Amino acid sequence: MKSKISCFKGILIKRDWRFLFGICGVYGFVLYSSGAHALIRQMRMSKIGVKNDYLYEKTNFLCQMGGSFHVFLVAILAIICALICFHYLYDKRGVQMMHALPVSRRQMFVSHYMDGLATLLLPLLVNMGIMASILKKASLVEVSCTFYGELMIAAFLFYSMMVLLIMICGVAFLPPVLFFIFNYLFLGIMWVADRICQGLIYGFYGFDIGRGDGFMGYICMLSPLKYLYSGTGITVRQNSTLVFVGAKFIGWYVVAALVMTILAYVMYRTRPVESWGDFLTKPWLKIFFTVGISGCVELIIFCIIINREVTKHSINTLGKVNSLIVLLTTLVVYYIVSMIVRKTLHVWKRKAVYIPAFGMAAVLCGMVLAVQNKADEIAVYLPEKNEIKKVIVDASFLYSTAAAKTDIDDALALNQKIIEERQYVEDTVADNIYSVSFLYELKNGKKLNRRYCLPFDVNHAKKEGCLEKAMEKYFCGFDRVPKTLFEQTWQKVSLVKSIGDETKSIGQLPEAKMKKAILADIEEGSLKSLYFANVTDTITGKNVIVIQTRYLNNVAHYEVGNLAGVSIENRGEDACEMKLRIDENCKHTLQVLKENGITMEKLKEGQYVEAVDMEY
Amino acid sequence: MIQVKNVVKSFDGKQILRGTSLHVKKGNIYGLVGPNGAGKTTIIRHITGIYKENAGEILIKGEPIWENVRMKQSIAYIPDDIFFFTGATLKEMRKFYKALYPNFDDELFEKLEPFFPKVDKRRKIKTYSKGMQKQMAFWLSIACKPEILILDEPVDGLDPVMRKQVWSILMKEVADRQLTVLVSSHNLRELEDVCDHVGIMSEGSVILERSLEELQENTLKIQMAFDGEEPDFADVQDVIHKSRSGRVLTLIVKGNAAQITAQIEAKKPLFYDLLPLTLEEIFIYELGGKNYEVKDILL
Repeated sequence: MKSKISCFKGILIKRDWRFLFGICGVYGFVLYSSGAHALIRQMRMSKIGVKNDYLYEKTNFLCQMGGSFHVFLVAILAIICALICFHYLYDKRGVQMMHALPVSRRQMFVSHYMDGLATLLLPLLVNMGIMASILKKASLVEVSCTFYGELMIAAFLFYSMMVLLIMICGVAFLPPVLFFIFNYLFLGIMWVADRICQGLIYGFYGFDIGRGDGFMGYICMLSPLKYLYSGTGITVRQNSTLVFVGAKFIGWYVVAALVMTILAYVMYRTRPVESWGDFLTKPWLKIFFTVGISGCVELIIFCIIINREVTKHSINTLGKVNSLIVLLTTLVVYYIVSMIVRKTLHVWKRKAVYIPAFGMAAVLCGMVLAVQNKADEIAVYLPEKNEIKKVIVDASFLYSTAAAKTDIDDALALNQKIIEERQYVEDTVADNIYSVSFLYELKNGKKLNRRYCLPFDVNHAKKEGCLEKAMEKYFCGFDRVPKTLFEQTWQKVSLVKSIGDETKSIGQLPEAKMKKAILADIEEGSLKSLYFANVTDTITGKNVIVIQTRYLNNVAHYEVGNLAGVSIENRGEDACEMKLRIDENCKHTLQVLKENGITMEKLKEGQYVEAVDMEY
Repeated sequence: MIQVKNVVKSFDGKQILRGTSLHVKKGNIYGLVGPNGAGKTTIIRHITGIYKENAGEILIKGEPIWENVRMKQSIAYIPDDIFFFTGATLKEMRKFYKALYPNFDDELFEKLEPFFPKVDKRRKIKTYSKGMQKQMAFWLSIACKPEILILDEPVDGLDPVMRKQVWSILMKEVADRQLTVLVSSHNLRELEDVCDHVGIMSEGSVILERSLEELQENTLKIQMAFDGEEPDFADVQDVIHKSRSGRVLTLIVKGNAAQITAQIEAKKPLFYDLLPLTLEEIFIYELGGKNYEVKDILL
């Protein structure tokens, strides 16, 4: 079959499509069944949607589209198509036969490349058209087309990347491995830097990679796979309009894909056939490969050692991480690992391995030293009050979700206390750990994050001026109790006893009195929120009451029982939860219980769970 | 037709071809012979455009072969290790080659069918033996009607009947339309019957390139016996081999037959006999001079 276009060869295209046709068909079917077909099914099930042309169903459906499934599917198919189209490069006899034929390398590359790309793009184009014909409304069609357009760009990018890797590598297993490495390499490096900073800097929050519209949000684009499935997608704005987020700079991926395609073509034109079976087809690539692999291995070893050092202080000499000792330990372990690899795989020469190792070691040592020098300065730094526009303090309390408090002075005071207690925090090994984070929004538009993992030590909590008391003072005031819980009507209050797995109702309590009593005790400060976990084991006696809410058939229930404090939970729009510790000082609550035959001694006997039905 | 000029090629720092030069004229059957590792297959892959040389040039009909689609359309290549597409039948391969070679002759393809009676065109090629696959390779290559046919160990795996069959087809093609054939083989006895030109390769270069007739004319095997002491043969130039079996002395000498005969007669032997050398013997004795002789076994 003669081709009028000289860069294609019809017979090669025909051969490729024997395999690609099936992939194209299956992919198209998957897109259709998860897209247009699923939407049609939802529209058919809707009883009222026809009145407004199924606008709600269409909007709702589009919001659910996206996520990681489609992007990963495109990536996997790109790998498969590229390997199918260029599989002959990994067959010794095949590569020789193909290059002996009267076909130019340009024709071979262009024909095979376009076959694979068409396999990925055609199903997307077809489904984009089908979806547009169903959605009809211009704004919805635009969002849907943007979504499919993003997938097409992803297909182009991933396919070009795979083809380039195939041109670089002489063995078939290497391109897919490198594909995933390069897609996560940047994130991996940032994760390492994040771990080092978190380990060395007290209060370091972490890099906000992939979030927001700033630099950190877009730098995630250096890991395309991650960015495309987490940084982009369809969302609903506050005015109920659908938008596709993250599409602003996605065009750069097209540029990157074009560059990779051109590079792949150039490499194919000069690819020596005799490089079949070599890891890399070009000798000059070996240096990058060796530096990269040995650098990554050393980085991993470094991370393990430094992670152990900052947590166990096993090789600590001066009270802080000794970067030189970490460096030497890294090099020794790296030497052992690389010797094993060299002896078993025979892939590296000694010089090729150790020279980049020393280079990478120098880089890592420099990084640690730089962070270490700044660590103390960063740890004690807090913005001035007049620089702060807003502060949000959050805490991961297992039983209580504290209501937001916006007072800047209180937040700064708490943060300062945590900084002062650094020695206690770092030296204490506790089973109960909770985290507290501070987000300062500054007037100059910048943000400052701090996060601390704090221990709870029962004995330390009894000391005056301790950290636990500072936490209690901040989080346990009456203004922190979620008011919405008490704004609702309590319809029924009953006392339920739990013995083992069995729960049964054993009495009724007056709901209004109970509610009033609890509020009164909270106001007086005797009923305090319990902000740390597992207090049942640490608080002496069983003089605690739990009030929990849960939904049964869309009706909220409150349970009062002596588990680990009083927990008030509301799973409504303003979701919150509070656990309160009752002791002998909670006279109002105890009075109500006593009036109903429940004494402190009886509470100590076992578990009592009180269920309250309420309107919501 | 085929000109290889001072081609140099290295793999991983090891030089495989060291200034290889050879010339194949139109209508010739050129036999490329040499010991294992001499570089025969490597130079063939250069000629077919698979490898690119580090230095030198390879011209087919005066044009470089590298990435020259037009020239490649006039070359058919049968390697020693044949490749066919996975799951392909002969019928499919025929379509494939027909699309690539403009001179592919369907009529010739059909005419050749009786010569390969055991081949089913609809059956998958991978189910056939190596010898049968080689037959199919020949069938397809000849049907492509190339101007140049390059064969690397062509009859390896073929039974004697099929070997004769294949050679006869090739000879006919050479006679009918001046097909040029470059064949590399270790089966020197067979090559001797078909080749008109021979190139001997050793250690990456062609050490000898002659017509077969010239080669056999210029290398003589002389068996003689002398009464009494054996004379000195220092004046006889280019003695590439000397051996004795009892009283019979055997010399392999390169040079002009008449001159050498005169020199031998001057020594007054009891008798002497001039014997033609086979290609195999020429090969062995030529390479013996290159330190690749048959060694006595002492275990």
